Amino acid sequence: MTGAAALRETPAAGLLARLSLGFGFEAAESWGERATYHVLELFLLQYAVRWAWDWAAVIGTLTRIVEPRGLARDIDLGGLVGGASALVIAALISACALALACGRSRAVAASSLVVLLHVQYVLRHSLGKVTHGSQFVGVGLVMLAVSALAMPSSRSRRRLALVGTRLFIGAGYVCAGLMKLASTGPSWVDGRHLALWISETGIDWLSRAGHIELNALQRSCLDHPALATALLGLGLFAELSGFLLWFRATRAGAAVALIGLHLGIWATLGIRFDSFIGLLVIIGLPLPWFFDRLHARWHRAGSRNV
Amino acid sequence: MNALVGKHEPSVAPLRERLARRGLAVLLGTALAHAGLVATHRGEFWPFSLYPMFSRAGRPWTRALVRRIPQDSLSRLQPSYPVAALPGEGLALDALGIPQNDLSSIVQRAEAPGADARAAALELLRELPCEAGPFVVFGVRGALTADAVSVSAVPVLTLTCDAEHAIAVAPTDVAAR
Repeated sequence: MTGAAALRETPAAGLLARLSLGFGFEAAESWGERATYHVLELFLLQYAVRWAWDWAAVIGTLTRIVEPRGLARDIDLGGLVGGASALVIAALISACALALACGRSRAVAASSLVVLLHVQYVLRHSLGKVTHGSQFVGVGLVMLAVSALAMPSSRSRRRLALVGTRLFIGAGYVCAGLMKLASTGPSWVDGRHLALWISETGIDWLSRAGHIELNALQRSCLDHPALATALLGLGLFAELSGFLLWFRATRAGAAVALIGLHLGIWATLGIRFDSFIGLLVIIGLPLPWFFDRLHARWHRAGSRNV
Repeated sequence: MNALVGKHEPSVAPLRERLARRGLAVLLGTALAHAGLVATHRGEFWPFSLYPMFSRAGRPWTRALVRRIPQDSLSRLQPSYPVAALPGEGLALDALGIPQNDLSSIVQRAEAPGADARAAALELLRELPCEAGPFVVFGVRGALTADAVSVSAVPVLTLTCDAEHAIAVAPTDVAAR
């Protein structure tokens, strides 16, 4: 027996081999799976371009980095705030996105886009406040980049981008749930905490819009702590179940639960996670099946017309 | 199935294994990069994060609220107000293009705002028309009491016109104390 063969037969190596084959990077790809990948790619790229320009508008008004984040902690990026530098970066990001959408120089375009968007993010958030609404789109863009860099064929590239995006988003939700348990413990679900957050986001609305009006669900949560506790419990359970996005059999159920979580956050705290919901629809719901059915119907209709 | 390897059936299995291993290596490498970057950058290296939002439940919070107040009220600011009894009229920050989230972040990091917090606030409020003021930035603080949420507002910064009619930021007497 050769050394390599012996290694392949150890339990850990066998598990890794089964795991890697389970991803099916070389497996046949249906029309619907390919269409789903293109929907994901366009979804990620339009957010990248939109945020690049939105953030550039804010960066142009700043004069210095108050609190460095990410790469700005390692490299002095102070020269890029104010002036037109951020607009140039936004233009470069748009060019990279266009190249990717057209399938030109994928590896270079995708990796440049990720680095440039990281720089844009740390400049925009250099006043101290970090937001997380763009994180999952960023993870998807990273997967577009690494799959373009590493995989030798279009089919395996598309498969890795989809599998990786699903994997890291699922892990992200689990991590968010574990952080809650680690930072607060099981009492995190206490309904009074939701009342505290509702009052906090109420002040945010007052500050941003000049007025505040609680909706029926918010009032119910404030009046009935047990309802608030139940909602927090369901939310935490949905987050901890994020890993179920990894498996075909449980994927759609987990996606629906997580979409429900985000709709609940929107209704109770007024915070919208549009990009998260969009990503869950694309990577979690059975879009490939839907597109395949649509394709088959078109095909049949076309055959009849001929 | 054989689109990648043509008609050479015997080479399918090694190719499949190679692709599978490469894919797994990429996923593991990305996970390691995620862990390493987050560990060395205080939990955040966009787009990688530990996703700590809403993880610390029950902690008191502080958010920013800006109000235009009468000139003669500036010298008579109280240490604390109920939100329903704040002096002056509220500013809608969205309409002025001022990112409220960033302003709140500055206010909550500075109990008595030092030079850094004042400079950061000036970055955000530079475009405020100072002639329309004076303005006061309140730090609105919320906390859980036995079975309710208590909310009160503390005047933190004053925004007035300087000699060149630009906005000037200073700590209120209350915050300085």
